[in-house]
Amino acid sequence: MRTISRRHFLKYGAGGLLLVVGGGAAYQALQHDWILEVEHDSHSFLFLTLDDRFVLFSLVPVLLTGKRKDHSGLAPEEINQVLHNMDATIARLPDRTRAELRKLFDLMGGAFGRVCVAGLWTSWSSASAEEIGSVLIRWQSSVLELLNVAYYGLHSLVVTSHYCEADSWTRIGYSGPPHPMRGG
Amino acid sequence: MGSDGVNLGMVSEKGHLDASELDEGAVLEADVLIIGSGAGGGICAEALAERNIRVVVVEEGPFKKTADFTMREKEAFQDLYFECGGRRTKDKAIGIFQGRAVGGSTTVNWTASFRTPEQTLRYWSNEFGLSGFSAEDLAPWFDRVEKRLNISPWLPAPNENNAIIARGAAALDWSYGTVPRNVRGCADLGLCGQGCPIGAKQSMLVTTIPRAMELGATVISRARAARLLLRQGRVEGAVLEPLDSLGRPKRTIQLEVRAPLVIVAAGGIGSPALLLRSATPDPDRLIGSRTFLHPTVVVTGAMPQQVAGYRGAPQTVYSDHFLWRDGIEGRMGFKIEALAIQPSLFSGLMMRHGAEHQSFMQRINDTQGSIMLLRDGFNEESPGGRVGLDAFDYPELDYTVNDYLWEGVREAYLRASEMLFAAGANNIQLWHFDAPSLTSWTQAKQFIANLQLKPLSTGLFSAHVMGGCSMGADPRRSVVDSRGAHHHVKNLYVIDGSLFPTSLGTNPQLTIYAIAAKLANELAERHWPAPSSFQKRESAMNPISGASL
Ligand SMILES: Cc1cc2nc3c(=O)[nH]c(=O)nc-3n(C[C@H](O)[C@H](O)[C@H](O)COP(=O)(O)OP(=O)(O)OC[C@H]3O[C@@H](n4cnc5c(N)ncnc54)[C@H](O)[C@@H]3O)c2cc1C
Ligand code: SF4
Repeated sequence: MRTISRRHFLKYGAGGLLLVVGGGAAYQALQHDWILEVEHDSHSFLFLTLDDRFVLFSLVPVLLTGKRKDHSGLAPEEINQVLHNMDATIARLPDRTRAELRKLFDLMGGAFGRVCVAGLWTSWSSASAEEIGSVLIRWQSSVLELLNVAYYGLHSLVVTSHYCEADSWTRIGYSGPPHPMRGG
Repeated sequence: MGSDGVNLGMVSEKGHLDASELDEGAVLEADVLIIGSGAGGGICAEALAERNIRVVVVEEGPFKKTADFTMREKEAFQDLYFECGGRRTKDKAIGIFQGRAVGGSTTVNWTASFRTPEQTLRYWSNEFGLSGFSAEDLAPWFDRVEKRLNISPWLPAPNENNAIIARGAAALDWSYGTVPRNVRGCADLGLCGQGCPIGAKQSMLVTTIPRAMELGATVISRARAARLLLRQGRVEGAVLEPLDSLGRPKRTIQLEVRAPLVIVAAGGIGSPALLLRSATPDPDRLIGSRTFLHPTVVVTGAMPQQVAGYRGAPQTVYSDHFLWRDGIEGRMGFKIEALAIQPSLFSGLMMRHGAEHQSFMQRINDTQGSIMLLRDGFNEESPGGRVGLDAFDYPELDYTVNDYLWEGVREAYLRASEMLFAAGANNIQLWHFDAPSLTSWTQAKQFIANLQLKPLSTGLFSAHVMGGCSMGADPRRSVVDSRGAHHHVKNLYVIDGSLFPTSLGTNPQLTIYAIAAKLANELAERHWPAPSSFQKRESAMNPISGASL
């Protein structure tokens, strides 16, 4: 919760303006390679839109490691793989859950929704790991159902989509299923 | 296969029709339609097929075979679980795991096979007026299904994840025991939750379903029973929706199965949902109510030694020391078992994100996982949840966690912590959003006493959905009678875990097997009485006129 009050202070205090301006500049600088990583993924998605994927590219590394993409130790392909797995899973979910997630992603992607739903005044791609982390905490403990959906829906989608991949296993010392056999 | 208007070219192998491959509608006929192919449906299918009764089994999930099981959680959750393993109660507070494939939850379950506790059976008879459900009544049925599914206590040494439970319990002088399992030639791989890759687990997928098919039963996979055909107080079959390869309804094509007798075996949540969608008579609004979960909490221990809880049979040691701690109707008791530590499952259940999540994942090898399954439904303060339908006619479970249950959770946290420290844990972790790692029993005791327990902060899950079509003598308090027969609709039966009037206090599969074997055989004898083998065949071939319905 400390980070939230700090953010509020910055937002309303003189420093806040600086942060927003500074964030904007960082956003510009970062944008180029992000767009490439996301856009150059030739996977055909069933549910996630390009806008959703831009948001997720910021959110996923923080959710998994507490760090922004560049410091998370995750390769861009790994993040893209998480997105592929999430997409395949969401495509198999019931209508109600897909509708809930659609509403959530649409809100997260727009500036208005980002401020209301996430309390984020800067864009996702320029928000710090701490800022995104406090968004997650707020979602987890919110009394609004949509935000609980945001936390519990995205949390399990993201982490299970990562830890079902062999690339993640080496990093945690899991040797994988016992034998390299494919069933009897 | 006794079908009308079905393009037989679509039957991919003898007795199996994959509805996702259909491009036109069809009507099929049967003596008995069974909806759901899990513990209840599988046992019924074999019992009836053995009597030459023509059976069609409808299953919403895919027909995966042993050779299809990749051992990877990635495919398993997508292919074999409801909502890819991410199902939750309405307020998101409780995660729910249920199998959705031929074999139902038995295809993915962890093989623990316990008889129903006698306390539970006595409570059912006394409180709900059940007849034929005493321990003596059920004993021959338990004997029979235990033999059929090769159920016996697990003799090889438990893996370290389970051995720690035994060590902790022994150090504290608690009772504990060895888990009986339904396996034949188990290689101790520990992948039960992803579908057994060598066919050792004696799930419905490798036992009763193939046997029923050999005897002439038809299995329609990837077809969801949308609603029952009800007319003038009796059931006449069901309308099915074929699903596409993503498991979503293809609303353009409709299948129908006509049968003079229908057994609903779609499991907890699934069975009441079907009855609700069909507008089944329900004057007292009982359908879907009294749905129980064995709400389950997790405590993990960071051990000084390697645990590798992903390897070896997942559940081989248990403790019932606190199951009846305060009498049957007293404070909520719990069973202690092990949590299989598969990385994806483990990551999804963990009440953390970011750096902390990652560091727990990095300690996966040294982590012991204990789960405490709380028995719900034995007290007025434990009414269970209610299954309803959303705007898309899809089920949703509303389950309120109240103070009565939180008291049980607190005791479960306390005892599991005590047990893990007694077994030598360096520190323990309650799977609660606000709990830090606790480094001593004294610290844990104090912390747990003051911990605020509330939904969403407290990690809760269930792999045991029960009730929702509860069984009882009184039509004002129950949906079906002691035979599994619906109180208001003729020839409509419910035979699966949804007919339990409370939870069990133990893992449910064996109870479902025994009850299903009993009810299916008794049903067959009532509707197709004492036939000579010739007459039996006749009646089976001539369902409407021949059966005494
Ligand atoms: C991961 C996991 C581990 C478990 N471990 C154990 C264990 O170790 N020991 C134990 O005793 N129990 C265990 N269980 C629970 C046990 O497997 C279930 O309680 C039991 O299988 C329930 O039997 P059922 O017949 O009520 O339903 P299920 O076995 O779940 O079968 C119901 C079937 O109906 C299908 N269905 C639902 N709706 C429809 C519809 N409308 N049309 C067509 N088909 C439909 C479903 O797809 C499903 O296949 C576990 C469960 C899970 C998920
Ligand atoms: S532990 Fe045994 S039953 Fe379970 S998946 Fe492995 S071999 Fe099969």
